[in-house]
Amino acid sequence: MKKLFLVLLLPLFFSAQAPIEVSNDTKWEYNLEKALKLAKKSNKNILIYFTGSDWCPPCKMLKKDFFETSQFTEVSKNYVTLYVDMPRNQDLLSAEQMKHNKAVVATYNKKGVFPLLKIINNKGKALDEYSGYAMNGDVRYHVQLLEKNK
Amino acid sequence: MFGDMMGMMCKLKETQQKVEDTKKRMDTVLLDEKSADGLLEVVITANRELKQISISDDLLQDKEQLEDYLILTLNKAIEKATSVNETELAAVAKEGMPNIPGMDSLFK
Repeated sequence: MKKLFLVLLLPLFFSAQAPIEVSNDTKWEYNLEKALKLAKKSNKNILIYFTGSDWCPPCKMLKKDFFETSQFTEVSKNYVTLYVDMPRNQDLLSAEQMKHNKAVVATYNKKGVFPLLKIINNKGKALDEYSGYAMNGDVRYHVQLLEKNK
Repeated sequence: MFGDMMGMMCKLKETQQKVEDTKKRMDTVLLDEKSADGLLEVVITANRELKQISISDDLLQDKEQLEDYLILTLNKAIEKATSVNETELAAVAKEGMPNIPGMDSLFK
């Protein structure tokens, strides 16, 4: 029970961390073919981020808590980053982009879950993934995924 | 008057459809919840369906401790999923409701 008490105190420690620095410096790609070409050229893996930008609450929070931070900008330098959005409002994307995104979801997000971070190599082979978000600012496991597969 | 009534009925039907679509969509929204030390992880959909439970070997030595961890983490996950679910459904329902005096308070 003592252990459990300490475990309960841990979130207080994490919530007392320094404020997150905001950054929008990451360059996202929107086309898989282009991302694969870039990844081959730079010998990097690809991070695919599957999101429902206008309807998925954890996706919206993850954007703020992780993707728009300087921490992500830093750790994502080792990747080509591909943004795959499946918005509810179909006017947000062109028909062509929607078709492309649906195809990428069918290939790399077969369960159709959001948010999903998927790592593939520059030949298109799936390596690792992490799905979901607790919406509490704790992005340790998302960072670990990127650190592990760079 | 009947024109208004018909319009209202259409809007309600449309809203009903939107609520159903949102409920379906909530099946694809995943929330993960971990114990603070990361020894237990559960993944749940916004429709409160458990998708995954991962238990570290360290927790398997003490049954009572594992039970405490499960109760805490599962309750947190269910609470979060319920909150997301209710917020999203209320937003869709509110968006599509006709302007009837007093109805606003139902969604607060």
